[in-house]
Order: sequence, then structure tokens, then C-alpha cells
Amino acid sequence: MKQRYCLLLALLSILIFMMTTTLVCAEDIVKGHVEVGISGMDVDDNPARVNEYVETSDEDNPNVNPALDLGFDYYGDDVSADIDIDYKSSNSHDMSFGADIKRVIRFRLDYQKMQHWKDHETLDQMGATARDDLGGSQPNVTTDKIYADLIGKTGNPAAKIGGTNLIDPATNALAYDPEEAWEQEINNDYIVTREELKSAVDLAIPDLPNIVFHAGLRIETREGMEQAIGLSKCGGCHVSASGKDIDERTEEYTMGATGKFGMFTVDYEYMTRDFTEQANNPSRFYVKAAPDGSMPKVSSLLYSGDKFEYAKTPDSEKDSHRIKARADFSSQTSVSGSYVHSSVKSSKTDEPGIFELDHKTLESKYDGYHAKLATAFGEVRFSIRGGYYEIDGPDYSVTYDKRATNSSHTMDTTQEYESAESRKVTEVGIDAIYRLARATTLRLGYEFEEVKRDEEEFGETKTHTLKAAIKTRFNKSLSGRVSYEYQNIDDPFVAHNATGIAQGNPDYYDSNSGLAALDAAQFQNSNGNNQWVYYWNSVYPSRGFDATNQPDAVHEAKLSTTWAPRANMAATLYVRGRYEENDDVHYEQKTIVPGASLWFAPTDKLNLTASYMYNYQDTENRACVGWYHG
Amino acid sequence: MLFKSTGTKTGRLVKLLPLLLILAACATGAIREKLLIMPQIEGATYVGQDTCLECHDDMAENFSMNVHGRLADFEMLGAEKGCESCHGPGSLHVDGEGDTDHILRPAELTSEEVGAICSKCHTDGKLMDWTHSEHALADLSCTDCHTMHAEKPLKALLKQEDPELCFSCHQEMQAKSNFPSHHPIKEGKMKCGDCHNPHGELNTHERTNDLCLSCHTRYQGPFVFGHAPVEDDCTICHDPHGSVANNMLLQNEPFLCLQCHEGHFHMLRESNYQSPNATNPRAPGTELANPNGHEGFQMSFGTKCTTCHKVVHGSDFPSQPLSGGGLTR
Repeated sequence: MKQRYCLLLALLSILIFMMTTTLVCAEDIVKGHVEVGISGMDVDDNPARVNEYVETSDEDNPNVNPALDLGFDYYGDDVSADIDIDYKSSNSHDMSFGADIKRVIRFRLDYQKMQHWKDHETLDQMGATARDDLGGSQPNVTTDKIYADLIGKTGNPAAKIGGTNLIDPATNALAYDPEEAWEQEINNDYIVTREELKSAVDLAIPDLPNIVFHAGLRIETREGMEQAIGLSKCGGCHVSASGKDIDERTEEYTMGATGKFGMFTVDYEYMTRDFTEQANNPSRFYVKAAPDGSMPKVSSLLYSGDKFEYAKTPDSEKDSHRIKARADFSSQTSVSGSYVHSSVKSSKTDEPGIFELDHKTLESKYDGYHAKLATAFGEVRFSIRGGYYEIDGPDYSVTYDKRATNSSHTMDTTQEYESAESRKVTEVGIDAIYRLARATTLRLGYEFEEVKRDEEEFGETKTHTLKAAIKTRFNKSLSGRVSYEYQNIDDPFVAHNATGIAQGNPDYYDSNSGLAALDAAQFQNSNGNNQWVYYWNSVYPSRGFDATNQPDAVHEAKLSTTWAPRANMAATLYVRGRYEENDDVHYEQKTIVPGASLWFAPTDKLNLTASYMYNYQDTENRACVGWYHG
Repeated sequence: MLFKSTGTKTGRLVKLLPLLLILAACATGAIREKLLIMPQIEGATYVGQDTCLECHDDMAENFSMNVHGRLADFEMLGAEKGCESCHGPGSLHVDGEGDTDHILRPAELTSEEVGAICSKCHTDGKLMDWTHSEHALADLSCTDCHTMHAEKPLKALLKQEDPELCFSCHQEMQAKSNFPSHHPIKEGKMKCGDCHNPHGELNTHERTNDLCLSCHTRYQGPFVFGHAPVEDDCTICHDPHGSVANNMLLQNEPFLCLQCHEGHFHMLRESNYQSPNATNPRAPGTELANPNGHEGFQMSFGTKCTTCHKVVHGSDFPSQPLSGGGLTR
């Protein structure tokens, strides 16, 4: 803290000195401001904290930090420059610098640092044990804390509480000490520090005035630790958490040019982005599966009884080309078009003996074409738009290896996967704006979007949107806008017949397995009565419902009016109502948002805003939870 | 190779390209100015900036801090430079001793008239789609957000800083930015303009997911084991403007998840376990102690799905059960 003060004072002295020396130069203009303050916060190190963006110290107990906000602008004949520094604490500060040299080189640099406190679950709710834990048998759902508590209460060693499930076969020793793991995890601070450096430069060569060249970079790092929760199944489920190191780095470079040739404007940009996670993946011991005859059986698990990595953040790289062109034929008529191509790649590794991939690199490609026309006929302006884009996501297969120790999975099983992002999308839109009076316009609009997903299960969605709005200025101090929008959505994104867990969708999977193979009439009790309520004749049918939180019809109306009696005073009243429904899944959502806002600026330095908003939202939807029959 | 000549006709076009570029380069700003006619002042002619400053000398200092006052000659491509570039030819205004009916005053013009003045130059980058933007279609004028003659000009000559300027109309978004879960806008680490292009749509030329992934790149994938709604549209689960639920989810877990997924049957199961009666299976067994109470299963499975299905955005590792796609590892 002491060093921080010294640095700040030194910087302040230099800047004041610079300002003084520059002020004596005739014709040049220097403007600046310095604001110094103090901020403080009492931080309570509760693992379940909700204050995500703490700007002061990450230490416990009350702490005080100096705050500094300074900015200087310099305007010379040929050169202008500006610098802004906003310092709140060592964990939160911003800096920006810009320079313009004879309009030939225009440069900007922005740097930002912030802290983000991540979720920290205590897993206290995960105590679903249903057995005689105190007797030392295997609980059904456990956490490290439950294990640790049992060890403490019974005085038994961890190996006895956890049984052979927790024995690491490689070392024949206890895989880990639950109490130690719990203590370590609960004491972790899950904080990620994000730093971002952005820079952009434009180069305009006077002898080539039609073209301006652009280049930019963005480097973002995220360092720290977040909570990683893993789940393994043996007799039941063992849920435990540990700290996962974060060391992410994103490097993004752009370059391009803008050309203006009379009525034509052409813009091209190439972007390449490389994302890497440089920290090691966390690993955990996946407890040994119970032998066949217990639930779940060995045969139902892909792996167990060993340490495996989990919570992996995959590296990826993206490249994109974008070209846009616009032609202005008059002040009211212009045509523009664009083409975008991008690809995202991510390398994968499989786990021999558990699963193999037929593609070691997964790639997703995007190609988009869009065109727009703006024109006017008399008092009516038109905006007409159309576009088509295609996403070609990865298609690949995963082969799950046979399990050596069971009798039911004696063959390798291969499953085909197709990314749900693969699609072909067509968009069309037209808007007409009619000027009813000098300060009053009526807008009517229509949009259509068709999404054809390659993954047949998610279907094709067609959306028709109608819009109407009137905006008016009654006089110089009173204005208002009212609008209405209706959407008709045919087959919104939905999981068809998908409420059943791993039951298989009869429309898309083998009809000889899963629900499709069931015939409730076949199931009878010992007296030949098939009218009794059984899991398979009362629950299974409900497990084939469609499920979604997406509406197939939307109505939304907005009203807003602003009264501004003076240039430094305004009052706004607004209300928004929205109704969504989807009868197919019994979904309904009502939203009402009224609000009021008062703004008053008695001086240039003082702005006062008082606002109130009431947000009411009520959602109903169908949900399916099977009941347990024994 | 991005572009490839594949035939005779294409080859000729490629050869003609330099000639076309030269011809296009000759079409300078002067020609553009004649083509893109802005609101007319009948009979007026240009008088030059020095004439304007004879009366409006108070504008001189402000304008030296304004990018419009610092433009280089070569940037104008031969078009008119100075006050009359935006306010139109000023001879009648001068002759009329400042008659305001004979000069263009953007604050008094309609939105499309103001747009016509600005689009003499501003047709590139994020401004290319202005005519089709929600703001333009809502009859907003350039001068609703920008001011050219501010005493202390802000970046992009805005009337107020982002987000205050945006919040002056979008009050609901201001309220949502103060919801318990929000992007760090009120903390000053983000601005509306980081995601939105006020002169167009979103700050992406691809779909919405691409915008989100430019910062949340860790979820870019493609993953071996994906989650369909994540790949379809981030806003199926998230409200980026802020929400009451954690992680900007539309609703709290498990209700959000249960709208598409069946809940585990354990959610309805009580934890009052009895050991089976060895001699008569239909007879009650022995009640066994459960230190976590009878609601243990309901709490475990009905509190938060992502406790176990932690990697809900996708994973490169299979889950332990045979299907592999449970997003638990």
C-alpha cells in the first residue's frame, strides 16, 4: 500500500509539471482535471458471496483505498493527444491514451484491470444420504464434508467410511483425505483478475487519400482460480469441489482498410483470435464403481477407480474475413452488401480405453451474405433488408470402448454427433417510415426469419414479426412514443419428446429401444390386471412430451413519454407489457414493467437522477419429474 | 488463396481491376458532394470559414478541440471544408445579417435531413448501416446523441458519456443493470457500446452468440459434448442486461432447466430409508438413521442442477454413465 501511494504521487507530480510547461506554449491548448478520493469496503469472506465486482481489496476486514481520476488533453497545430487514468485500487483501474498526428496516424490504447469474484458453492444441500451413515456404510449422495463429518463422528478412518471405493488402485492407498480436501476447498478465494489491453491505429497517407488502413490488437488475460465441481458415481454419487487454476489468454489481431471512391465505400477487415488456457486441468478420483449386482453396475459406467482430468477449458482459434460495400446514389438512396466468412477450430484429445474420436480437430464455419437498400418515395422512407447465412458445425463420431469387466457391453459402441449450431438461416425485412407531420412519424415493419437446423431433432423455426410505432413531439418540451410488436413463431427451438432422461426419442432413434419399444398393455401384475398404475404406464407416456422455454406467439407494447421543460431537466414515464405463450408445452409468460425517471442537472458538474422501475414477470410452463416407485 | 482466377472472363476482370480502381479514385469527394445533395439553400454560395468566424469567433476555440475542426485537407477529397461543410453555403445568411432562415441548423432539421448531412462523410465502419438501424427507424436524429459544438467535447462528440446517454432513453435497461446479477456496467468496466452498435445492430456481423463469445471465449468450443441451446442462442438461458437469478439466467435453477429437461426422480423421493424386511418383503423394514433429514434427496436434486452438471456450456470429456453426454466432467 505504501509503495502504491508513492507511485501515485510521483505520477501526479510529473503530470502537473507537464501541464505547467505546456501551458506557456502559445496557441496550444492543454486541458486537464485531477480528482482524488478515498474508497473503502468491509469485505466478509463468505464463500457464498454475491458481490461479484469488488473494486477494493480482496483482503478480509475493512480496508481503505485511494481513488484517483485524472485526465489531460493536448491540442497543438498538428498533434493532439489525450490521456485518462482512473485508479480505484490495485485490482481495479483503467487507462486510456490517444494521439492524432497530422491526421495521418491516429492511435488509441486502452488498458483495463478488474476483479471478478466467482461462485463458491458450499455444497451444503448435497446431503441426500439415505443409509445408515453412522454405521459406516456408503452414503448415496455425499460430499467431502459429509465424509469428513462421518469420520469425525464415528472415529473411523476415511478408508472405512468410504470403503474400497476410495482406494486408489495404483497406490493401494486412500485416494485422498476428505477432511483435508474440504478444508482446502472452503478456504479458497475464487477470484479471477481480468486484464485487457486494446489498441487501434489508423493510417491515412495523404498521397493516397481514398484509403485509410486500420490495424488493431486486443490482449485479454484472466488469471486466478475458480471452483470446479466434479461428480462421480459408485454406490451413489460423490460430489466434490476443488480449486481450478485459471490462466487464460486471448490474443486478437485485426487489420483492414476502408476505401472511399466517390459514391462507393468499401470496408475490409481480417481478424484472427487465439484463445489458450495455459493452466493445467484439475483432476479428481472417480470412485470405484460397485460390482455388478449393485446399482449402478460397473457396466453402466465408462470409467471408475482412477484419477481423471475434468473441467477442461478447450483452446480455440478463430479467423474471419469481412468485406462490406456501400453505394450512395443520392442523399436518400443507398445500397450496401456484406460477406463474412469465419471459422473456429479446436483441437481435441480422446482417452484410449474409454473413448476415441474420429476427428481430432473440430471446426465450425460461418458464411454470411447480406444486402440492404434504403430509399424514399415522397414522405415515405423504406429500409429493405435480406440475408442468408450458413453455419457448418462439426460432424464427428465418438466410439465408447467395451468394458472389459462386464458382460453386457462387450462391443465398442460408436455414436454419431452433429453440432446443434449447424444451420441455414434466411432473413428478410422491410420497414416503412411515413412522416405524418414534421415531428411525427409512423413506422410499420415486417421481418421474416427461417432457421433450418441440420440437427433434425431441433427442427426448423419460422418467425414472422410485425412492428408498428408512432413517435411524436407534441411541442418543444413534450414527446412520446408508442409501439406494438407481434411475433408468430412456427416451431420454436424445442427438444421434441425429450423430457425422458436418456429414454431415446422414438422419432429419431431406433424404434426397438427406449420408450418406442414399450407397450404399456404388456405390463400386467400377477393377476393379469393391466389397469393398475405402474411407472411404465403412467409415467413413461409423460416422458415423451416436447419441452421448451421458447414462445410461439409474442405480443409486446411499449409507451414512453418525456417532458423536458428546461435543457437541464427531464421527466420520463414509461410502461412495457409483454405476453408470450406456447400452447404446445403449456408455456405462458406475462411481463409488466412500468417506471418513472427524473433527471436534473443544476450545474455541469452535478447530475441528479431518480428513477423507479417495477418489474413483474410471471412464467408458467410444464415440467416433468418422474416419481420413484421403489 | 482466397480469390482464384478460374477462367478467361475472370482473368479479364482481374486485369481490369487496377483501371477500375484508378477511375474510382478519381471520383473524389467533390463529386460525392454533388451526388449526395444535402438540404438546399436556394441561391446561396460558399463564403469560407473565415467569414463565419467574423461573427462566430466563440466557436473557434471549441472547434480546435473538435475532430471536425482538425480535419486535414486531404481527408476532404476536394469537398467543402469548414463550417459550410455541414451548415451549407452561407452567403445569404451573411447578406441577411445572420438570418437563420438562410443557413442549415441541424437541430431544426428532420432526422433524415440531418442524416443526409452527416452521411456525406460518415458511410464507413459502424456507420455503414445507419439507415437500417433501430435508432434511424425510430426517427432518431444524429443530433439527438451527438453535439458538434460542445465546450468540452466528449469522445465521439457525444452529449453524455455511455452509458448515461443510453440510459436517458433506455431506463429499463438502467434498472436491469442494477439487478443482482449484471455485467459490470455500473462499475465502469463495460459500456453499452461494447455490445451494441447504436448506428446498426449488435457489434458483430455474425449471429448473437459470436458477440458473446468474443469475451466469453472459453465457451467457444466447438465441444465434443455440446449443449444444444448453448449452440443455438445464448439468450435462451441468459438475459445479458441483468437478472435477479445468478449468472444472468432468465430464471433460477432448477426451474430454468426443468422447462426443457425432466427432473431426476430423486427430486420427489424422501430420504427416510428403511432396510428391507428379510422375511416378508411387504412388511415394513427397520427405520435407519439419516443425519441429513428426510429432505436430503429433494435438496440435493432440487436446488441447483449445475452443481453436478457443472460444465453446462459444453465439455470435451464424457460423463461417467455410458451415454457420455451428461456434462458433469
